[in-house]
Amino acid sequence: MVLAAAVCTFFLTVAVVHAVSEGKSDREGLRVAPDVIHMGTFYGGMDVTITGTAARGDQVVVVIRGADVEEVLNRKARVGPIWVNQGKVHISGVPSLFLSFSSQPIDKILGREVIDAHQLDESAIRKQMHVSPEAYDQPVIRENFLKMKTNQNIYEVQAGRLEMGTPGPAGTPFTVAFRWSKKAPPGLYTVSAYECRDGAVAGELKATLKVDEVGFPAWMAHMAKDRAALYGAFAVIVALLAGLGIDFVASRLGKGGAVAH
Amino acid sequence: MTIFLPVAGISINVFLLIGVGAMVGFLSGVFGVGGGFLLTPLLIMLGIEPMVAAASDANQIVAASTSGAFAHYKEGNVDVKMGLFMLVGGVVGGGIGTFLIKILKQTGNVDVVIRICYVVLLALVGAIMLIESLTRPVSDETASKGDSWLDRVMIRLPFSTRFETSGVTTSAMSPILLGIMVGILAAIMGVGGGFLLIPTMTYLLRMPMRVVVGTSLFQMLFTAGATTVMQASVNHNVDIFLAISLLIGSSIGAQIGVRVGRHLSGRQLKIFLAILVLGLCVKMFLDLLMRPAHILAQMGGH
Repeated sequence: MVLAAAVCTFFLTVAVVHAVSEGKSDREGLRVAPDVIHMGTFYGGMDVTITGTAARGDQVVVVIRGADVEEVLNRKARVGPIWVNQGKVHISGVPSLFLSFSSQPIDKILGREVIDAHQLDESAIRKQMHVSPEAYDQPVIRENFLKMKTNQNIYEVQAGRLEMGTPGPAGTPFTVAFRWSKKAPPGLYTVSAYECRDGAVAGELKATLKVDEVGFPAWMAHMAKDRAALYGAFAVIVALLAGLGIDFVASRLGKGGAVAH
Repeated sequence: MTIFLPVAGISINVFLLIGVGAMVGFLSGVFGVGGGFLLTPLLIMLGIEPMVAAASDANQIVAASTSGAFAHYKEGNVDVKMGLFMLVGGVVGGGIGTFLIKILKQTGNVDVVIRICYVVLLALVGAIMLIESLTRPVSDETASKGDSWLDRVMIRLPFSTRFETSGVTTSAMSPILLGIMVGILAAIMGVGGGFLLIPTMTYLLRMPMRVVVGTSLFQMLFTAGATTVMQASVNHNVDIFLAISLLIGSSIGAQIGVRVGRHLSGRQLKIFLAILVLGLCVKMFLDLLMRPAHILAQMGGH
């Protein structure tokens, strides 16, 4: 009887802890708005807001990552007076997109080992990146890769951009608002919020952000890639009709055919 | 207003594209020259990949030359027979050019080659225009006819053929070879080739000026069309959104240019255009010489 009571108590305790834990999860849920971005005809990037709640006193780092990719890039070198592409560089173990926003400079709230383990800044990516052939000047290639991605607005690290709100009973709300780069390719991105306490990661919240090509541009891109000859013929027919339309309008204006060629 | 160019893979302000098209169309309207040699480098400067810029410009030329060729055809100014011979060469040249692009794409130097071609082309066109406008009256366009060694070579070529509309007898090989050259240029650089066709048809084939423009537009329409299909099939470089945006701009610009051109001094305008072309040439040349911002670059393709 005592044993049965003990077993019941154990399972009740587990259930209560689980319920509390579920409540805590709701409290700290990470919200991405919008969580789906459509790349339509008039797409030019998108304003994105990420919100959540962290435990009182914690600092937060929010990271948005694309899947790891292998990129093959041209390496430029000087031949005579001209800069030409000379050789290819294979870079792997890097995310297709990397955005990191924190409430304070990351190295002030987390130790270097923790930053590297969770891949929270460019320095961590630089270390993890694999470059081949190895004979190339590794530090220069790594640095240039990060610079290139930063210039394309698909790698970005911003300390202090994430705003911590007024602590309440449920914890401290946090918000980061940013412009989603129009150069970011379609795909599924992982959004992670790291709660930082005493130089370590105390908790992690996850969400996703999906970027989709939709509508006419999606159809066109699909045609151009998968039905290339048909797409080419379509392009010519559209141009022919446009040309005849211009001739019609121009002849109505009394100046037939005066267009650029 | 921003639009997403699905093949170029970038978002760009549509009014910027229409504006660039209008500027080039305006110059075409004022000077009566083609705008392809200006449009592609300007698109490259806007951040569009050289391959996409050249291929989409070829697509835009289809529309522009359809309009022009149809207008000339209605007035009986198109030598269809001559145009068809040039067309055979143009399709062959377009094929050669498209495969050259494919090979260069694999070596990774297609962008550099397109840029170098443009520096040479702009330098030649700019210098010729400047020298012509400084040394010869603009209206004296047939002054250089003569019995040169090239004329003698042309006469000796086999397959002599009579072209009734133009009123000339010449070898069928001449327009075919000319078509091949223009086709290669259309594929690699996205130009219509008017700057090459018009003087060659005037001075070498001895065609009357009224037929030259119409026939050049007629053959350009087919060469650019064939190039568009080949570029789309082989290199997946043609962006219809980009081509149509440019076309809207160039059509409006050309109409304004034609009206403005009637009230301006042709010679001074030609000098101004020559300086503009040479300035663009210097800019592209310096870009080739200066250390790039990054020593890594995305490979061609999408």
